[in-house]
Amino acid sequence: MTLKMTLAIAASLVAGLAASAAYAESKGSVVVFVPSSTNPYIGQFQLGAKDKAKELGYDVKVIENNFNQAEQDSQVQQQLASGEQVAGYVWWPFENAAGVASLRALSQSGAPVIVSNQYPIKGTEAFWTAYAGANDFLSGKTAAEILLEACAKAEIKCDKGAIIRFPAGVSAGDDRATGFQDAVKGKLTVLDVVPTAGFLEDEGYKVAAQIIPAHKGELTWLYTENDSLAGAAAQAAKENGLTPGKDIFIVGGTCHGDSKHVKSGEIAGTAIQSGYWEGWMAVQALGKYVAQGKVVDGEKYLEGTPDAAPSDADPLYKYNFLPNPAVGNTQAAYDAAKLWGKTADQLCNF
Amino acid sequence: MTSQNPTAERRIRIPRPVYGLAAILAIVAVAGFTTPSFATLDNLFVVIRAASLTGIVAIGMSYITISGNLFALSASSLGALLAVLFALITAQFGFAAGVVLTLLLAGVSGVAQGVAISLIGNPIITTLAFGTVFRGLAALLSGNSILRIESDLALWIGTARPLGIPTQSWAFVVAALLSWFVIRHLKLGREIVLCGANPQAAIASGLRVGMVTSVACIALSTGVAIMAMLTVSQFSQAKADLFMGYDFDYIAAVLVGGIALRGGRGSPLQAALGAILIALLQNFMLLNGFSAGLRMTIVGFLVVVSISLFHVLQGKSR
Repeated sequence: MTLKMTLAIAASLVAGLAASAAYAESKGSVVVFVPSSTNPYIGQFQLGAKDKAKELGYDVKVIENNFNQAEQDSQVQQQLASGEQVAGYVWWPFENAAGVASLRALSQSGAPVIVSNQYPIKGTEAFWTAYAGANDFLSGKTAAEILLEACAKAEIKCDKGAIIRFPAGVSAGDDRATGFQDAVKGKLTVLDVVPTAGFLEDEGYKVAAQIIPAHKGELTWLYTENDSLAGAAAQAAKENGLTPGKDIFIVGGTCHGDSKHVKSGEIAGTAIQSGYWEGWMAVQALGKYVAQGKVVDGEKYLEGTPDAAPSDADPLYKYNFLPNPAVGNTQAAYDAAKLWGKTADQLCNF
Repeated sequence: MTSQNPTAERRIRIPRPVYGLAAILAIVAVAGFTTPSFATLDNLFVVIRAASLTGIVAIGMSYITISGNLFALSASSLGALLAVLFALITAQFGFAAGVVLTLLLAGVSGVAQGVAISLIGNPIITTLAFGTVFRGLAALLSGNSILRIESDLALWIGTARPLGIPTQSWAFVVAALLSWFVIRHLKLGREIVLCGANPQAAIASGLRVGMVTSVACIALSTGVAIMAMLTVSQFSQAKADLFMGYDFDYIAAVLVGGIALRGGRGSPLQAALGAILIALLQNFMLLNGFSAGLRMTIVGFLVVVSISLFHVLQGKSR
């Protein structure tokens, strides 16, 4: 009996020591607030965040909301009330403006807060440590450059067109439309800006199938803010007797959706905006802050190199932007496209 | 027996679908005069195409409402789950197996919801809970990724235009006529109407109300399955976040069509007309550059006006 008890106590001690050792190896928890991973892009974001956290020695706790800011606000309150000591927070608000109060509450906890995906609202700078994520203005600008290049090479007139944009209230949609319109000012005429009710093909088709016949003979281009909507617009154009890439130029600007429309030349081109790398760089930014303890004022567009991911030793800026390199609209160009060691297929077909 | 109120007998009763048709004609007239690109044959096909998928589900939803069970709030989530299942099965076993098994699974989900509604007695809460389960399962089964299918037959069905009309619109017309026939001419249809009109009387008459509720749920699930399969076929892919926020569209079509909220009155044809009416209005607003917020406000207002109008008419006809 005594022997059994001694063995049991010894086993408990060993297990406890092992657990403590494992805990000691961890640098703490990173809490990531995001909308639901039923959206595949957000699923990729989580994957990237987890991979980078593991590499840096952090544990990750992901708190998803069902595309609902009130739910996310409540989650923040519960997290803070738990009193858990964390290494830092990654904050992807569902509704950027509506989430400011929660962002402030997170910042008041004293832990670093990295904002991602939604470009921070002016005046909130004191509530977050750094922004690390996509630049939707840049996304719109890149799409405009792809379109302007296609127009320059076109044998047909390329002047009037329309923007099919994300639903009203989605700040990424506002920013992309602004970036695009700024870049085409004086070069192309925007006849119409029509919001969809969603981000996927079915919604894109619903809108494109109505505005293409309504502007018959006028539309020479369409900008749709992502490739899912662009692919659906290409289908609607074909049903209306227009050949995409010949009679009408369509550009989504972010590789989100079926790549066959890009590879076949139906879409004028695309750009890699990777959910995986966005999540990865948000956690990298947190790691940089913990290691370096400072943030450099200003903004930094991380280099879109094909092979090497950016170093953890690089300084952390207040604004750190994910590159979105353009990809040509051929099979060969798509196959050759890479960002930080991953191919376009790996980053876009998730 | 003689009537106590001869003027009431002489009053002409206008069938409810006539109100829907009148509203459609009014929108067509106003839009035709004010919007040059509206009154074209091309645009008419566009509107019917836009109404088709919502209409197919609304037709199924009308069975739930007519049977006295208000609405199901699980339709959009079930659509996502069936889309994911259809993509998974088609990718593994081919298109035919995908269609058959998806319809079977839709039937199973209909029975499950019908039984649960009969046991719990509250269709709104029950289907809301089922909706959460369906969306969660869709996310789990899809692994939060995009599921692609490579099927020429599926693509043809999703994009073909027999006689110049999209397959979705053909499916919509067939579903409307078939559903109307069931409600109007089959014993099962009459049982659904009776159960909705007076469940107590239906039970006293020996009708199996629980079974009728399950049949109504199966009708909805079948409509949802057709919508999901047509969508996946058109774009050759499925995702767990498909059809998010669509439940209001299905319910709005039923209400705008004038189907009695308390059950026992109405026809699936009215739901189909409601879907066309909303699609016409949406098209008119889209062509005139109405903002998304204004479009939502107007459609919501239309639903409120429709419910109020039909409520008043129902009161007068008693």
